[in-house]
Amino acid sequence: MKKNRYLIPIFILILGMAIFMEKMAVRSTNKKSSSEQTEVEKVDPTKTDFVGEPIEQKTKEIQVQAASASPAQTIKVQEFGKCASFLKINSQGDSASQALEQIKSHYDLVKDVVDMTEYQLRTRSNEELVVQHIPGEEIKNQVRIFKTADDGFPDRVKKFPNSNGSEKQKLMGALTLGERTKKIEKYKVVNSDRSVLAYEKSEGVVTRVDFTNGKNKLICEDQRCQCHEF
Amino acid sequence: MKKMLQNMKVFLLLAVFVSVGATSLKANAEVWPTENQWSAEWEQKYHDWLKTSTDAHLFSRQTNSDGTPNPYYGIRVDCADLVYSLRIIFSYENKLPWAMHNPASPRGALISNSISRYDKSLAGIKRLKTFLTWVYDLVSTHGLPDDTYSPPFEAVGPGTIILTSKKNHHSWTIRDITRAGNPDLLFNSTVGRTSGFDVQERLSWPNPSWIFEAEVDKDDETKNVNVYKPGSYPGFRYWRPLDAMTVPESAVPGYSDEQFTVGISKWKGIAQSKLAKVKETYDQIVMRLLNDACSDFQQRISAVAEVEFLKGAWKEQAEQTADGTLPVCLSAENFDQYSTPSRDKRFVDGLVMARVYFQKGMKEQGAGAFTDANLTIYKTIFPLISRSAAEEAALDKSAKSENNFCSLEISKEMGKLSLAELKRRAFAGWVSANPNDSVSGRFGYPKTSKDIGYSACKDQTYGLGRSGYNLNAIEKDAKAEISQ
Repeated sequence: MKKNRYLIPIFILILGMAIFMEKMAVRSTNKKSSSEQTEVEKVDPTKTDFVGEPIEQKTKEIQVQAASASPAQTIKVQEFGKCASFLKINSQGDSASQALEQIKSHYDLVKDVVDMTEYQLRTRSNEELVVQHIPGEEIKNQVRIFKTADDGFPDRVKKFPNSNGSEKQKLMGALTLGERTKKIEKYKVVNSDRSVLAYEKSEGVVTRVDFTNGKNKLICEDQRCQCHEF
Repeated sequence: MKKMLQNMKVFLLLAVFVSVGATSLKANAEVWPTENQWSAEWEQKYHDWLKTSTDAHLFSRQTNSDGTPNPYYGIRVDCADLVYSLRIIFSYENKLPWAMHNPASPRGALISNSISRYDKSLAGIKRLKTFLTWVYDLVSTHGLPDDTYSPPFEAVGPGTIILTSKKNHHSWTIRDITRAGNPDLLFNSTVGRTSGFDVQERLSWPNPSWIFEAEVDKDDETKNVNVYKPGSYPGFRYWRPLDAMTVPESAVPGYSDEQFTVGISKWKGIAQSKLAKVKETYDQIVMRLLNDACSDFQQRISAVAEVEFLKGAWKEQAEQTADGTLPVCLSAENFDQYSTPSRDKRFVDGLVMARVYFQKGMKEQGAGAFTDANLTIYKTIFPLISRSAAEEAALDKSAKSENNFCSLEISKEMGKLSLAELKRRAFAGWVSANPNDSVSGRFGYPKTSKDIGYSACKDQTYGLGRSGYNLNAIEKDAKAEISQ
């Protein structure tokens, strides 16, 4: 008992020191990552500090950072002629479908080629699922299901109804997992002049056009078009 | 007093543990820390690392050459997994940043080594392996073009990726270039329960007509979509710099569509001639191609043995059930894994190419172009070299002895088969790519009642069956390719 008299104060002392050391270490780590981040932004503006963060905010962040940080990556809003001289659209209004119509008629693209169809589902337990159907892909990736985890990143769901069946059976099985909230068809075409047209239709309505012509990119989204030069 | 000192030691250790543990959890929140940045120097180090530290045994050797345990032992990969693994492992080992596009998210969202979802698992190799397992679930050859760009011929070398069109969905990483300008390619793990964790290695350029093979029109399967054109995705690819992950591919520094302007038939020749330091003799070329064919043969044996094991397990399972019903046909997933139409086509393409070189060598330089020993091998495999490949296939009726070059045991029951005999059967269209067939059917022996293949399972061939080969067309392509 006499010996144990010393043990408690010593324990408290050591524990106190441990907590102090840990706090100092965390402070030092934060300081270090903060200075590293500044360095990264200086050299490499679109890199590590935003990659890996939750998804939806990211595109805007990329554009804001790129616009403010590096001359080589500066995104300028140009006249649409930079993207394609034949485009006659306004920056706002029903621009996505107008732009698509003009691009398609310019290249005589009468046929739509679906690169991927994405179904967004909500399960009974209120989970969000993304079902991707990629025709022509290797069998294990023809129908992929991703569950959105709490951190915003996807987790692949490998076992689902008909997951061992044919392509059609797999897709049908995957779509039984929840209520469909959205169907997005993604199209991609490489044109004869090397320009690349990618666009999306959500429930049959053109919701996004991404037209790359050399180092210029026309993006129409939410009924707003912007021409970027990279 | 002694006891008190002991207790103090325990408390001290506990305190140190708490302190260090808490600190390391905070400091290692990312998958690995970024302490360096990619540069030309680091890219060169990556190329050197591929040459010196990777080979077919990267995931199968238990210890490294210095006797330390191999931390990557036991990883199994498909072709896209391996392409990403090599870049990730080098980035991890050298604390370099790494990122890829999130395949389930629109608008260029990225996944990188800085994500914190694994900060609760132990830092270091265990965390990396957990991360890799997750990445393997996300990546595919479909997403690879978004993370890479098309480089010019002069930039092709170790680290360059070769990607096929979506029709063939395959990819390789060049780990080295031989003095004759041929690539040393690494690709997916070998298939087979007993084949271990080796990845596959190949010392020849893949067939460009296979790399750039037109996609089937998804709406009209009788039509094709050309993918050999500027702005397209197959062929040589290299990793995008991280600050150019979201820009248009044509705006990535170093981008070039040169490979899409030279013509498919010249693609391989141009790459090889730019990289070659010495010229290969006809004899060396033919033997290299036959060695590749022998490796393909060995891999095929493992793939067939694996599916037979699976069928055996089914049988055992069925015998234990009340009705004793056997599953008749393979599921789509299993069919994809164990069928070999692409592998068989590559095998035949390689042999036709070897034959064309042998023919050209004989025509231009006579038998003196080859060593006596090699000439005997070549004449056994290609007995009617003055004729076309199709004519040889039709006229070569005599079975080849097992005592020949590359004679391998296909199963304990069936014994050995030589490359010459397998080639004879493959050229004749007897070799089945269908995993529903028996071992004998898979290697071109006369079909038996066990070969249920295309008849009983015709609805379960999943569009992957190829019956016979158009040898005239393959030979024409091969001749066009080597005349460049």
